[in-house]
Amino acid sequence: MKQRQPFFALPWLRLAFGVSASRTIGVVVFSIIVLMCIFQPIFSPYQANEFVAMAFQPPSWEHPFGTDAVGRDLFVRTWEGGRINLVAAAIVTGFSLILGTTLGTLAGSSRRRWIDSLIMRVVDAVIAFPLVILLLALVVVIGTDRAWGPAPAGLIASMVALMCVMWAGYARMARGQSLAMRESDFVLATRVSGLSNSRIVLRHIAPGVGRITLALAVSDIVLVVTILSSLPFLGAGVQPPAAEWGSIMYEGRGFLRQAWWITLLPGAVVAITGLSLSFVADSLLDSRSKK
Amino acid sequence: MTTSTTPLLTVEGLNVHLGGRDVLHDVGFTIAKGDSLALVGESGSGKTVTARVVTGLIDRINGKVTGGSVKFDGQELVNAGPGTWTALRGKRIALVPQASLSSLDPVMRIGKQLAETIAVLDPGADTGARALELLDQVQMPRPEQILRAFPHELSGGMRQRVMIALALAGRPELVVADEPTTALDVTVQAGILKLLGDLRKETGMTLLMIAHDLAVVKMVSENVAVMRAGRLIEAGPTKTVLTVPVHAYTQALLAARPETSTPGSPLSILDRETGELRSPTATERVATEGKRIVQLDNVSVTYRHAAAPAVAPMSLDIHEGASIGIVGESGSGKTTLGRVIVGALAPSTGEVLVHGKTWKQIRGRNPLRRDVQMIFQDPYGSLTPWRTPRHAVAEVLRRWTDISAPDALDRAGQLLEEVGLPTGVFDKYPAKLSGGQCQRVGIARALASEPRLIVADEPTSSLDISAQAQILNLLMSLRASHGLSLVIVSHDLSVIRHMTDEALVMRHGVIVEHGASTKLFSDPDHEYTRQLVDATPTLA
Repeated sequence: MKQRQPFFALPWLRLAFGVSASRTIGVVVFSIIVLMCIFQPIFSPYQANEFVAMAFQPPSWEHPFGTDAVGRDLFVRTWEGGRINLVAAAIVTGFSLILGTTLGTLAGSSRRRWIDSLIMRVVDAVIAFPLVILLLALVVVIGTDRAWGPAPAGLIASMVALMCVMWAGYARMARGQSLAMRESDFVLATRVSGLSNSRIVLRHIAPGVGRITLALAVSDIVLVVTILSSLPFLGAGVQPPAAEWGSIMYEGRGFLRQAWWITLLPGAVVAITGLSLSFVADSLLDSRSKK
Repeated sequence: MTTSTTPLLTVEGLNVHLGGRDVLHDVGFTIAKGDSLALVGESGSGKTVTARVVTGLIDRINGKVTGGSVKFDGQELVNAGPGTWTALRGKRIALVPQASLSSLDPVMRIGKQLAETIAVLDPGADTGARALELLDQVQMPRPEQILRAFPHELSGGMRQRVMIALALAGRPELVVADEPTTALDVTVQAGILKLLGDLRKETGMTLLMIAHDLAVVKMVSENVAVMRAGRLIEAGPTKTVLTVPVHAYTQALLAARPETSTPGSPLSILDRETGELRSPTATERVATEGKRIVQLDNVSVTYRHAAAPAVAPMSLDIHEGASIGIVGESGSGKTTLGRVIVGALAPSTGEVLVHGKTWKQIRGRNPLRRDVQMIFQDPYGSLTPWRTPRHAVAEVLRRWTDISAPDALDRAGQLLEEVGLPTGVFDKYPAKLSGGQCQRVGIARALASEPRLIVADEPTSSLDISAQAQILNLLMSLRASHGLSLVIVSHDLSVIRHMTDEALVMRHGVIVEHGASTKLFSDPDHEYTRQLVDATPTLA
């Protein structure tokens, strides 16, 4: 009985939280952030690691986010950092999504019990291990001192570590979904029709599982961004002087009293990115449950 | 029942706007004090919306009354404020919702739920004593134990009695019952309908009942109003409307009932566009050899952790061209038996043999798999939400015949046309289809593998009466033209009598009677079959 109302007729609260409105807002805000990350460094008169002004300049027209402890322009650094963070987060989430969904669907829809047990025990082991410790251990093992192509030192290690951890969540969710779907009438119908197992899984179970895990992945991008940018605080993660959201904020933490903008403004960008992505994820989940 | 002339509820020229459409057009009726009226119509006819307006719940679904008036005892209800409703709702107007588990709080004991309502509607009363009294009033067995029970411990019929007790808590003058017996077994339904009648005699309450089944109406209400597409098209005393209906639609509703036509003949169908009644001609039957397709040999099913078997050991032969009905109430094991026949469920003991092979031996591309197909009860749930009808049918075609993908899509289109699906929805997702349309897709998918036997599990229980007539006609003509055998699982005796030659009556997993359908339902041997026949509402 739920009805679709014209967009502008909504009261402002519905405007902010309604299904189609939250998607629109999320997509618009996120696009702005992505466009800034792409174009700002191209058109900017400064380089990210260039000393352009006095240290600790508060935000001004010249330097909208101010300058940091060594006189680098934070506005440029923030958007430059977005390139690293968002691309890394997208790769990590995409990989975990694909791997986790595949393994989880396999575990959930396989007739052989040992496949299910094997995959799920590995998942349990990964999830049961304290996240931060596991991440740190992996980052240290892989090494943080070498740059790989365009990736600054430490980035690849953090990404690999995150992938090793993140897929497990998707696998668990995918397994639950495909178990539930296996019992449904429409899968029973395909069995009675005599369709092959691979077709049933690929065409009738996997798309339904994918819809759910995809929505989770969109909201997880922000989680990856947050973890990536908190790793520098633990001494791991992307190493300075690379402009990365975490390391920018980390460098500013010592001067919070004198120069709040070093930590707060890039932090605000991270927060807005996260918010816009959860708006999108929210609307994805909503439209799936609507019949 | 005393019928006075003062109207308790007067509805005049009611127009309602809901979901971007006008769903009620100029609806008007009156109910005198102590009288009763049943609103009857198919889904989407506006009967539930009318009930929502009368109970003041139309705002909850974002509906808007755009015209007309609803007067309760002289008081205007349209656009009445929350204060007015607080004074009326429960105390003078009460609602009995559809029978469902979701209407009761699952984590609260029945006694507490009753006490909560009593405390609001009847302050000062001894809640415990009043709760017992209410349960007693709705003829609940062992009321003391029921007070301590949780909703899931109650059967569907008992839950509905609790819902009625909750409605009666404030001693209302008008009770609005929205499909109070839908989804209940026939014997339970008979009990609830009788209870509603008894309560009217006892308390003198006025009843506005919503129903989709004319035969149900006949058992409770003296007056009936037939609705279609938001308009009230015929109203009057139930006896008159049911015997000499004036409007073509009412005639169609009556004619579409399987029980009124001779078994095996096509049912009359109402044309949705023109509103005319059509009687399709029977399809000529192709000759069949009468070979045995499926043999059930001493089959039984016991679910894990279950105390009693869902299906007790039984044997059955299904021959070509046969039509067998399986009747029973919920929990009788009829669906389980249907699933065993199609090989969706392995029997615990015994064998199901398809042309001499067990289902275990039929794997991969074994063509015997094609011979037995199934149609499901839930038309939406049996279609994969992200597969369009054309693809769903085409993939079955490609599995069994060696044709190219474009050819399969073409052939799928032909099959869908054959089962009467409008061409416009071939490439839409199931969520956009109506229940009847989804059921046609399910039938086309079953036909795609050119089966010899189709097991239909409650094929029409979630459909409107006119859609039911169409689906039954379709199955019947397919049986004739393709020489199909049918196994029809249903709780509805009239469907079984109409569609099948022989029938099994099941109860608690045991087959209590097995024989020719016509004999079974006119002259049953077993006590339980007799109960079923008696409880089934009929127009006669």
